Order: sequence, then C-alpha cells, then structure tokens
Amino acid sequence: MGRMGVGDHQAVPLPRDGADDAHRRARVARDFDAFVAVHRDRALRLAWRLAGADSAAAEDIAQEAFVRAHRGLDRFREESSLSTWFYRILVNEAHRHRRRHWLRQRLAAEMPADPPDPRPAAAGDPLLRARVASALRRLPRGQREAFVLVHLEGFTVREAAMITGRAIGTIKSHVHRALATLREALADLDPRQELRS
Amino acid sequence: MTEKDAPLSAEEVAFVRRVAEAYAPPSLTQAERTRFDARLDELVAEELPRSRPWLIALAAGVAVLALAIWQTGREADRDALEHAAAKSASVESAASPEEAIVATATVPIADADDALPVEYRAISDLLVGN
Repeated sequence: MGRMGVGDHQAVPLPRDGADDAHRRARVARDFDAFVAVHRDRALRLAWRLAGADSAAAEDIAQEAFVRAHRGLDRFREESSLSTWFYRILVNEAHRHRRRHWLRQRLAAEMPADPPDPRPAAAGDPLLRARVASALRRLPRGQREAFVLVHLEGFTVREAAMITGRAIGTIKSHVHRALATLREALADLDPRQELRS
Repeated sequence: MTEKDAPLSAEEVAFVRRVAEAYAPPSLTQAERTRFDARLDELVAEELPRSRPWLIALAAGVAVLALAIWQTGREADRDALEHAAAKSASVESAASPEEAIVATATVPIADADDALPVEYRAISDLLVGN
C-alpha cells in the first residue's frame, strides 16, 4: 500500500517488509484522517458545484468519494498525486450521482418528493444561483466539469486533465466553449452587456 | 486558470468572478465538519468488513466447486454399486449354470475394467493406479 501524503503531492510508499500490520493500519488511518481534514471543504465545494447546488447531494458525493478512496488505497500506485486521484474519484462519483438522480426522477415520478433540505441555503441571490446551476446543467458533461474545475475551483488545466482523464487540449477546448456558452446564457452577468446597455 | 494555461480577457475574468460568486456553496461550520467526519468514520467502519468482496466471492466459488465435485463422486459411486448389484442379481437369478454363463456374458458393461475378473482388476488397479 502506498503511504498517503497528506499534502497535495507525492505519496511515499510504505515498506512492505515485515512491518507490524496493525501499526501500518493505524498509520494509514491517521493519514487518511489528515487527508480528509485537508480536502474535506474543497471536496464538498466541488461536489456542490457539480451537483447543481444541492447540499445533500454534495455531502453524499463527497462521503462516497472518501469511502471509495479509502477502499482503493491498496491500489493507489502513485501514478498521479493522491489528491488528483481522489478528485478523479469525486468527479466520477458526481457523474454517477447525477445519472442515478436522473433515473430516479424518470422512474419514480409518482413517489413522494424528497423532504426539504434542513441545511442553511447558500448566501446570495437564490434565483441567480438557480440560473447558474441550470446553465451549467445544460452544458455537456465534459464542458461542465472542465469549467467547474478550472474556473470555479482553481485547478490548472493540467490538473483538470488528469482529474477527468482527458487531454490538456480537450480541457482547453471544453473550457473555452463552456465560457462562450455561459456568457450567452448568463448575459446579464457579462460586463460586455453592461457596456452595451 | 493560470494565465499560462489560457489567458482570459478582462471581461472574461470579470464574468467568471461573478459566476463564481453567484454559484458558491455555504461555507461549512465547525459543527458540520465534525458531523461530516463522524459520518465518514461510520461509513469507513461499515466498509471494512466487506472491503474484500472478491475474496468472499472466491471462497464461495471454491466451496461450490468442492461441493459439486463431492456430489459427482457420490453419484458415480452409487451408479457403480447399482450396476454391480444388478449384474450380481441377474447372474444369481439364472436357473441353470448355462443360463448363468449367458447372463454373465450379456450383462451390459459400464466400464472396461468391469469385464475383468476381480483378481485381474486388482492387478490393473495396482499398475494403472486407479
């Protein structure tokens, strides 16, 4: 098993010789807790943005991503940084969640709606937030993920490429197209429109 | 995005900033972080016993295979016993020595080794190792 680097990069491999297994597990558990502490907020924020501003869904996605990461630690082979690997899991989990949600909506139209989310709503204009969420939802998956990762979450194009498993050129193209589409859809947020009016 | 990745115009930067501000989740309170971590601990703890589903599937597969082999062996033994009993009964029920000879000769043979006398079969078993 690779030892988890708590920071963003370079996990150091654990010795596989006769080291005490319980001791090793305890160390992995400690490192995992530290990893969660470092990445929890960003994971929830990214999940929230990918899930269309749904706090309950974001929590489910982030929890599942952390659990999957914990489960897959044995297979983590340091081909990428631990954080990139984790965010790749999270982005895939967000996509899975989106598909499940879509399927549930299709199949269970007659079922009672989910209870209202007790969490406090995000600050700001809820209508504008809903419009942004809707505009993002209408983007193709690749463009949506690229835009959220690069422009809203501050990942570099290279990191976004590694997270999504796409080529750097593809990410650049996705980001460019997403930006153009969003500027049309949310024209009132575009400074160009202010200058024209 | 860094400028090196793909430079944005000032207008684009302003637009992106507005979108990011309008589409920002509520910041987490410490209580929410604690609750999140506690829930995650629960999920990980639940996960541990079933963290090796392939191992469970492999063990189940081996058990099924062993059961199937054992069952097949039992059925083969039973068939052999029934066959031997039928052969013996048909020979014993013959009224005369001639009929017994005919019965012995006409009993269907399930296995080539069955055609051998017992002593020869024992030698065959020793040499072939069955």
